[in-house]
Amino acid sequence: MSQTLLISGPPGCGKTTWILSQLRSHPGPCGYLCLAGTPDEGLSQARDGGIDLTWLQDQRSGLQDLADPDQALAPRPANLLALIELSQFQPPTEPGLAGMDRRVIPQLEALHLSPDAHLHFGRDAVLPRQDTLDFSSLQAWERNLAGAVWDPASLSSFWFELVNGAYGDAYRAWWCRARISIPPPSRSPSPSA
Amino acid sequence: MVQGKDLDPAAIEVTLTVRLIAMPQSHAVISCLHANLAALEAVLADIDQQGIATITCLGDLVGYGPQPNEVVDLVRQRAIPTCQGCWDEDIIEGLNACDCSYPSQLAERRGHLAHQWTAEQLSEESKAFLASLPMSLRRDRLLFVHGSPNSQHEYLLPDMDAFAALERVESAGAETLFCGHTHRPYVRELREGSIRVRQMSGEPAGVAEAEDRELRLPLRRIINAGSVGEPRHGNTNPTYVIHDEDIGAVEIRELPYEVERTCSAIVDAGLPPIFAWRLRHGFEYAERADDASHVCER
Amino acid sequence: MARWALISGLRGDLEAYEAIQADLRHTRRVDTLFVLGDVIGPERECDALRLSQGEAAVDALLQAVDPGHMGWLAALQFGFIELDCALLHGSSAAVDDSLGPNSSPLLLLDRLTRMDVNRLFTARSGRQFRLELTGGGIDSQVRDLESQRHQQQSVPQRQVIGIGAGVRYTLYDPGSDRLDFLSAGSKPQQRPRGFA
Ligand SMILES: [Zn+2]
Ligand SMILES: [Zn+2]
Repeated sequence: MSQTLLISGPPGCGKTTWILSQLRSHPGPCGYLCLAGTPDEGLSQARDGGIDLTWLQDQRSGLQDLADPDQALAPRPANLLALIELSQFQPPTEPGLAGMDRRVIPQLEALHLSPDAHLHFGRDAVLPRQDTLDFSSLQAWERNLAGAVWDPASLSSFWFELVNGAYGDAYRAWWCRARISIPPPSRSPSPSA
Repeated sequence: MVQGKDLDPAAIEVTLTVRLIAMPQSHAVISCLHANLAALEAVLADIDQQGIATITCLGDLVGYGPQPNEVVDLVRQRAIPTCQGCWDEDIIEGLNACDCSYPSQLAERRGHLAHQWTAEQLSEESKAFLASLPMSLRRDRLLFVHGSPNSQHEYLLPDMDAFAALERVESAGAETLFCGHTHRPYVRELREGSIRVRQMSGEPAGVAEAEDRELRLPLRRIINAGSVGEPRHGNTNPTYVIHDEDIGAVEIRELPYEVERTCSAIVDAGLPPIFAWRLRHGFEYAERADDASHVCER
Repeated sequence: MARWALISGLRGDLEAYEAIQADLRHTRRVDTLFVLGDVIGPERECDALRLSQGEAAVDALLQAVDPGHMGWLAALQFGFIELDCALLHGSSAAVDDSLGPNSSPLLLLDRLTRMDVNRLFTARSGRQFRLELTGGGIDSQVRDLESQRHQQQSVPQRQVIGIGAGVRYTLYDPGSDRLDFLSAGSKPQQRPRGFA
C-alpha cells in the first residue's frame, strides 16, 4: 500500500530531519518533494536550491525525485512512501487535509500527487514537539562569489564565523556550486636543443 | 575569629609589614597586550592588589586592538621593563612576518588590515618607544623574550619537541625562560635529560675509534605568560603569570575584564566588527599557523 | 645501489677538485656528487673551476657557471634533502653554523629535529666525523589552565656527519648506511676508514 504525506512547518523546525527518519525506516521505495512555499504576510522565503533533496539522496539510496516530470507520469510502485515537504509559517486553520494550503494544490496535481494526510509541526502529535525559533522575519542572503578566489582555510574560517552567528543569527546556510580549482602543475622547462 | 572593629591601627601596620617582607621575590610577567586597554587595566589592578611591584612585559603592545597609543602610554607611565614583540617589530620595520605564518588568506588580509590601521594610528612618540625596546631582558638566570631567544616570530608551543625546547633555554644561557607570543599560558619543566652519543672521527689517518659519552642535561623551565589583550586559551579572560623566585612557584592567573568596553572601542575605531565578535567569543583575531619550528627567514 | 660523494671547501682549489674527480673515476662507484658549498675562496683563482666545465659528474652544477657565476652562487640552495638526509653547508639553523665532533649533543639533536631528518651532513667545520645519538631521554611536565601533562621523550637514533673539506671527502651509501671518510690524491691506495 503506497502512502503520500504532506509535511509542513516553519523553517528550521526539523521537517527534513523527521522525513529522513521516515525514509530510513521504510523498507520499500521512497520519493521526496520539496515545495517552494508561498510568500506569506511579507515573510520572505529562503530559497532551497535543491540542497535538501541532494542531502536526502545521499543519506537514503534510491530516493526518487518526485519533482521529476518524467517519473510523475510513470506508474508508481505499489508500496511507495512519498513525502512532500512544505515551509509554512502559519499553523493550518482547519484540521487534517482540509487545512492544506490551497495554493500548493496545482503544483501537486501537475505532478500527479495527492496527499493521503497532512501533518503540521506544532499541530500533529505524531510529529516531534517543535523546537522552533520564533521568526518574525526571515532573510535569505546570497552572495555570488564567481571569480573570487577563496582558499579552503579561509572558507572554513568564514563558515565557522557564519554558523556561529558572527554575521547575524543563521538558521541554515550552505555553499552552492563550490568548486575548488587546483592550479595545473608548473611546466618543466623544455629541454634545450 | 577577630572582628575587624577589634583591630587597632597598629595591628594593621604589623600585618602589612609582614606581607611586604614575605613577598619581595614575587614578580609578574605579562605579554601580548595587543592594544586592549581594558584588559591591561584589569591585569595591572590585579597585580597591584597582590602587592607585586616588579612587572616585566614580553611585548606585542599593539596589533589588532583599538587602543595602541593608550596601551603604550600606560606601559611607559608605569615604567614596565618591556622587550619587543613581533607586532612591535613589524610596526617599526614594516611587515616582516612572512605569509606562511598565516594559515589562510582571510587571516592574512585581516592581519595586514590591522597592521595598516595600527601603523596609521600610532604616534611618532609611541613608534619611537616600540623601536627602542630590546629583543630580550635578563635578570640573573631569568631570560625574558617574546617568541623565543632566536626570534620574536618563533612559537614555543607547550608540546614542541622537549630537546628542542631545552636547547632554546640552554643556548641562551638561561635557567628559566619567559616567553609569550602563543597567547596560551603554560609552565613547562624539562628535567632529568640525558643524551648518549658515539663519536667516530675520520681524523687523524688510521683506523677510527669509537668513543662513547653522555651529556647530562640540566633542569630548565619555560614559562609562557599567555596574553593580556588577545587570549587564545578558550575564553575571553586575560592571563598572566606570577613567579616566586625563592620557591620557584608559578601561578597562572586568569581574570575577567570588561570585554564589551574593548569591543565597542573596536567598532568605534572603525576596525572590522568581526574583530569585536572574535574577541567577545575568545577567538584570536586572525588564526596563526601553529608550526613551532617555523621561523621567518625574511 | 646508490652511492653519494660529498665534497666541500674546495675554495677554488682546482687541483683538489681534480684529485677527487680522479679518485672517484678510478676507484669508486658514485652516482651522485653533492657539493656542500665553499666552491670558491679567496686563496685561489676562482675562475679556474670554470675551466673544468664538462666534467661528467658535475656537469649540471658547473654549466651555470658562466660570466654571471656570482649570480649562480647567490642563488644556490640552502641545502639538499635526499631521502631522510639533509645535506647542508652549515646547519638547519644557519649556513655558518659550525658543527664539529665536540659540539654539544643537545645542539646537534636540535639541528636534526629542525630539519626532521635522520642524517645531517655538514661541511662548515671542515672536519670528518660521525656523531651517533645512541640513547637517553628527557622528562617533560606541562601545566596549563586545563591540565597537567607528563611526558617522557627518548633520544631518536639519528646522526650528524662531518664530511671534511678540500681533498678530504666522504662517501655515503644510504641503502646500507655505510660511510667512508676519504682523502683524495695524497695516497691513492689508502685504506678507507669506513663504518657500516
Ligand atoms: Zn601576541
Ligand atoms: Zn607575537
